[in-house]
Amino acid sequence: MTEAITTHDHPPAGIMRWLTATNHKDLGILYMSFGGLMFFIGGAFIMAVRAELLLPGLQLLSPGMYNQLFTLHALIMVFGAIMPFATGLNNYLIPLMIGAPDMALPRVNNWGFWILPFAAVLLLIPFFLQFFGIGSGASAAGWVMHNTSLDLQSGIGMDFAIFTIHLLGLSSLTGAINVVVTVLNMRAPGMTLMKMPLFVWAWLITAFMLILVIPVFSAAATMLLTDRHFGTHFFDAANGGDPILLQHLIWFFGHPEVYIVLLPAWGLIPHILATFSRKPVYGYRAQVYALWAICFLSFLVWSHHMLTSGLPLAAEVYFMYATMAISIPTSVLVFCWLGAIWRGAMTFETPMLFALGFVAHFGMGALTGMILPDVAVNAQYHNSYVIVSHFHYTFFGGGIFGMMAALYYWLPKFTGRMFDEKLGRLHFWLTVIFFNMTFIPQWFAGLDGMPRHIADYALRFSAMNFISSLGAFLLGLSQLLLVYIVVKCVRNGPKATGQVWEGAQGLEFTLPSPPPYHTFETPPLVK
Amino acid sequence: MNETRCDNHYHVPLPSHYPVTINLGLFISLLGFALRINTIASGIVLMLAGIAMILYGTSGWIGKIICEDESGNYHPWEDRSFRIGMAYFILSELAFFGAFLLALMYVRVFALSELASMDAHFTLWPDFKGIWPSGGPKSQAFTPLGAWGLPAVNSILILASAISLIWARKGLLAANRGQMVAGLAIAIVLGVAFLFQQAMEYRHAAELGVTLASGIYGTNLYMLTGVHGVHMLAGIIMLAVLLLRAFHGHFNAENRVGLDMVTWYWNFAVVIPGLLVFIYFYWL
Repeated sequence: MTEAITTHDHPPAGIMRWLTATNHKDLGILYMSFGGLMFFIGGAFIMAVRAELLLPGLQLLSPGMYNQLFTLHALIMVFGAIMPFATGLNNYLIPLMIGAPDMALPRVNNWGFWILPFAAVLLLIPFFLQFFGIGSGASAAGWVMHNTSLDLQSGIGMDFAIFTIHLLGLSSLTGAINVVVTVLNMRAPGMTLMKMPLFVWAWLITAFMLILVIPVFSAAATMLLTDRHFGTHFFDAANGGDPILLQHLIWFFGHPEVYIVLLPAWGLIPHILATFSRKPVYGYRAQVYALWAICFLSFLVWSHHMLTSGLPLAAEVYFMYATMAISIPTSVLVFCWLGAIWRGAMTFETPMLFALGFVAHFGMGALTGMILPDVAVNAQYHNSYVIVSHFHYTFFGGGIFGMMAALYYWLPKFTGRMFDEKLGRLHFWLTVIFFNMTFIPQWFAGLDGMPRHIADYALRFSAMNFISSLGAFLLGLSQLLLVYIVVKCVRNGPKATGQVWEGAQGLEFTLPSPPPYHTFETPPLVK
Repeated sequence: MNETRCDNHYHVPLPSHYPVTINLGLFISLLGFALRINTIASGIVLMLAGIAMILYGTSGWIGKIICEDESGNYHPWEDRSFRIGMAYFILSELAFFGAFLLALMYVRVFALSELASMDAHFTLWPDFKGIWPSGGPKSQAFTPLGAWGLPAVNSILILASAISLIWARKGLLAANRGQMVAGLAIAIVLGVAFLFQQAMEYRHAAELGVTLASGIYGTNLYMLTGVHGVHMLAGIIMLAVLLLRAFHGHFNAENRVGLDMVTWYWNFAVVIPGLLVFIYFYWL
């Protein structure tokens, strides 16, 4: 009986500590480690894709294998790397930031995390089965199954992907409910909603979006499953259904999902900019309202992913303007970030570098996002490499840069040790250079007419793809430096103080580094 | 907010192996299911083993919560967490139902008329009218189901079950345990009767030629009522647990979070979707 001798201060030893964890710090570390591991697995898949695209012609992969690899890359990076890492941050930080003893529903928290490894295995099983002659490989339909058609690419991989979506949905949903309950019910006395750090606000809004759109994605996946195997006709025109209905359902999820990936990063960037500018957060109220506005608008713009699907003109024009309207609250955020560093006493430690890199690269992704919903422009750019480059500027330049900034910013808090600042800066500069080397050529290839989702291309795109592939390999290699930095920090970094950064503010910096296993068992009083 | 935090100590549960057990069960059963529908392996052993693990994990977990509840670990502060969590879970269930209902709306408003409005020289189905109820151009012939037979009776049954649950809760608040037990029992009987009648309705539908081969009409009938029926079955199990707990003397006017949460679930995630299916699928 392990439970009989287990108490709060003595969690079970070894693997059982992690399998049965209910402590928000343990689960936060699990989430973040899982996200980090998936970041490298998803990266490995795309290295093979870029190797195929290094030169024109088919050298390494069959087109089917190519489609599987970019699909797995996308699913793993979005649902396996960025979202779990952001969830890990919220697990670790929200209770510390609002002065709560733990997340509100600790066992549900454990449930949500331990679905993820199973979901990842389920997604990858058909990929490996194909090497033993079973089935036709993993799903090859893109990151929200947007290239699904009922007859094409519908091997066993699609069924495994559908079940993976169900599992991931359960994980995200439980995590989101936990965040909402924690924020609404667990704040320390005096911590009013409008005193909460912006990271907490951003996660609360993210959780609202997850609770409303994840079930729609699960429903769409269920309809797809029953259409494929149990004789229903949701997406079958001859029997009164409509394939466009599937697009509507998955993009009704898929567009808010973009903001689900980005909002946590938008929430943590103001913390970092303020700390290293030695100024308070700029435009707190404006940022909270802007985040809500983006949440609201994100539900109303999904069809800008479908502008070439044959919608009525009135719908296309509506979705064009609605999408462009999102740039208003987004600009509020960007100008608040710039306001935060305006005339600040700035220093450029690694987290600050990544935060500034985030502002610059996300800015490029956002500006191109203003152009793409234009109906006439979209007719040309739809499914071209312009799109690939655009969403990598938002997801990598926004999401990943944001997560890196957060990792460097709070790593000393998590581990109690400082990382090697010189190596951190080197990692930043390598990432910036190779990221742009990878994706700037893709703008040009896309503008020149190169379509995405293809394993081979016309000779005129050779130069751009060659540069892009080289950049991708170097970008991948330079991320190994991150592993070295984190390992070195954990093993023998110099001790960190509780304050960690000179200008850091917030309840989490009033605690020692690392914080004790249980914190705020008696709520602090927030003035 | 201070008055809800009895002694400023929130109950943080000890490590638990139930969640990870449920997840392993989910994984195994879905793996078996995926292998089965692709005829790679029978998968039945995996599915049964997985379901057994899910049942073990769920009952153990819920049992643990009930124990903690009855041994006085929970105060208004913890109860509030459960309530908020349940409210948002119900919101997500409504979004799930909403996706199916909006799919039905999309078919009725856009898809069928689009199919009918195509140029007669090009389409494969020049005589198709595209008026709901319709199974689409290629579906087999069927007679649409009427609203004022079994479906109407069933709607009255679930409305009555909602009222009976509210009555049961009133009984608890007035310390009238007999009324609470009776209200719960009546709601369970009404729920079971609903499911039984739904099975009758399926047989009736098959006689009228409405099967999954009747295109989008049959698809919507069986998916909407099927998804609703699964939620109702879950609701009946929850009510049965409540009834057992009531027999054991659980719940009182202060400590009633379990009863409140199941009542919300039943009224918002079972009754209201059932009524919406009646209104938008059968009636209008």
